[in-house]
Amino acid sequence: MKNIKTKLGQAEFRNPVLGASGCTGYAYELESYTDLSRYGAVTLKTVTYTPRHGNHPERIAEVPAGIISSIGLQNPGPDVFFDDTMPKVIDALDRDQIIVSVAGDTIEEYVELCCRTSQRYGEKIAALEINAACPNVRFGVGYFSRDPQAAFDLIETVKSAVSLPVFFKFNTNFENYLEVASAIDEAGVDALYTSNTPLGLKINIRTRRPAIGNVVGPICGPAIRPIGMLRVWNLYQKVKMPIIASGGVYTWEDALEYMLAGAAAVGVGSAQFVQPDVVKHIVDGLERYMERESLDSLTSLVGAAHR
Amino acid sequence: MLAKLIEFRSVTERDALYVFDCPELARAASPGQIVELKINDCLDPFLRRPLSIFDVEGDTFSLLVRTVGRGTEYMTRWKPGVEVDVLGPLGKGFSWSEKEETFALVGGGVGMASLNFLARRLLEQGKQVHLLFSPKRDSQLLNALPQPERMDISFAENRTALPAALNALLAKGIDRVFCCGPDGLMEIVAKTSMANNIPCQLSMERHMACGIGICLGCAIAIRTEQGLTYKKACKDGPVFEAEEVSFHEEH
Ligand SMILES: Cc1cc2nc3c(=O)[nH]c(=O)nc-3n(C[C@H](O)[C@H](O)[C@H](O)COP(=O)(O)OP(=O)(O)OC[C@H]3O[C@@H](n4cnc5c(N)ncnc54)[C@H](O)[C@@H]3O)c2cc1C
Ligand SMILES: Cc1cc2nc3c(=O)[nH]c(=O)nc-3n(C[C@H](O)[C@H](O)[C@H](O)COP(=O)(O)O)c2cc1C
Ligand code: FES
Repeated sequence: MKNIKTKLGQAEFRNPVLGASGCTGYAYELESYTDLSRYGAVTLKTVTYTPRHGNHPERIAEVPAGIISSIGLQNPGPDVFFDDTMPKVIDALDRDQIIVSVAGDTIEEYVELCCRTSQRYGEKIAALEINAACPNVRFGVGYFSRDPQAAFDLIETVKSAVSLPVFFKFNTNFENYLEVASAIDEAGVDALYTSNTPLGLKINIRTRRPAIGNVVGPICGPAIRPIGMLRVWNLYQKVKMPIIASGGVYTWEDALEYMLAGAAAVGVGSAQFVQPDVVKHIVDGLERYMERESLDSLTSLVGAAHR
Repeated sequence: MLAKLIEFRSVTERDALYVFDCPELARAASPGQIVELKINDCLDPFLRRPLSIFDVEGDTFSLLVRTVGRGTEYMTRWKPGVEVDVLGPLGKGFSWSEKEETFALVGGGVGMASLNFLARRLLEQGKQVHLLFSPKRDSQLLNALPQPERMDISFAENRTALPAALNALLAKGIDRVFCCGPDGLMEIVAKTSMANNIPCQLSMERHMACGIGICLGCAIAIRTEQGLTYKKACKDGPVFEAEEVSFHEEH
């Protein structure tokens, strides 16, 4: 029988297509546009240690086949998130579909957020996601994504504090990303989530000013997929843990391409802004492909392009 | 869902009216709401384009669109019969109370697009509608209005002349003001209405990525009891109360 279930460390999902953080809202917003049960899982918008108002508008600039964004992790903070948001999420998604993304400025903040999530909702969610690509006041943006020792310490502390599966979302923009990935592998997470979003700039020729308030921002969307592909390819050769790839997935073919390069699952982000039901179409497409190719599972295809 | 273009008509050199057949959307729409149109099947332009619902008649809805860039330029090449991928109706539109009888609708340029459908609904309810349009040099746009004879129409030469024109209108006894246009114009209308203690609603534009509340790209600074906060123009708006909108302060 065909089986599209996907194991990422200790966590098991109904399929390998995940809604990416910040691009899927809190899932319930999408209820009237798609069949939420078709999501492998949804990583909720990152919750930070304290509420964040986010960055100055404009926050979005369109580029060919993608966007440059600068949201600034706008979120209401943990109190509102736990009290008001999570009950609505739990109504909309099943336990195995919910991933909570957290970000802090220090290891202590990350750990406290993980512990609070685990105490209140540990039984009701599938995994925690450490967003290590976020702004860091003391050490600068992406500190935990570019310092191997910092990444290692963060994971070790979190893993010893909670028993839920933990994913580590890091940014592959730094030159030493393979070295950082090795440290993450050694510290031991359930999966490595890659946001393969290089920085870019757009200037509004009418105002003669940068198009977004923050001047620079990460580029996402199909435009950057080949960059993400190469990074996932390299990571697959370097680490043993499962890889979740995001960066430009729009169709089932894109998802499959990432899997052949070494991803065990994919995160779908900005494509949902254009087609709110795109995840359902990707999953349908993968299932049809399995049928056509008489595949029992997709597992054998993960990294197949290396062999 | 798909909407079939059934009519395309130039209104000015750079504005056109598009009429679509789409019963599901037309029946659900209320004034001030928007749609998100996919321009083509390709990845470029990547995002949908947010546009106000200009009118609804039976199973059809229409848009009044100004050609400003690649997406809107592409639209002018659509021929009747083409089927367009559309999301909507989206967002929170205009609201008023049954007791209110007389309304001032202030439109700035193509911002007028969201006011026509509102005028239609108000007129259907037997309300009195005054339309104040600025700037006068753009008045050819009013050729798009299906029932101009049922409204009292006046003009402001430009933004400098707008406060006086609006004050004159408000002196006639207006229960509520609705406005859509560039931020600068809306700020004047908000201030003038508030100074006259007349409730006013504004339809705000922000660059949007999703239009359905999942990206937080369309942030708009709004005053709340808890202080200034960013709300979503696409979902919490596009229509906001004038006193809520902060035009200059940001976080
Ligand atoms: C809620 C809402 C309702 C709208 N209703 C209407 C309407 O009824 N009729 C209409 O003609 N237009 C309306 N607009 C504006 C319309 O969405 C833009 O003009 C359109 O997206 C431009 O697309 P483009 O590809 O032609 O231009 P682009 O090539 O994307 O951009 C050309 C120029 O226009 C600017 N621009 C793009 N989008 C916007 C925007 N949203 N606001 C201000 N400037 C922008 C860009 O910065 C750039 O300088 C509305 C916008 C919003 C947010
Ligand atoms: C508007 C926007 C907001 C995002 N917010 C978050 C976030 O809060 N946390 C996070 O881990 N990633 C965030 N991301 C990154 C995405 O989850 C994803 O990794 C990235 O956009 C690449 O995927 P894509 O090309 O499919 O969009 C955001 C991306 C966008 C475009
Ligand atoms: S445009 Fe995405 S939240 Fe408003």
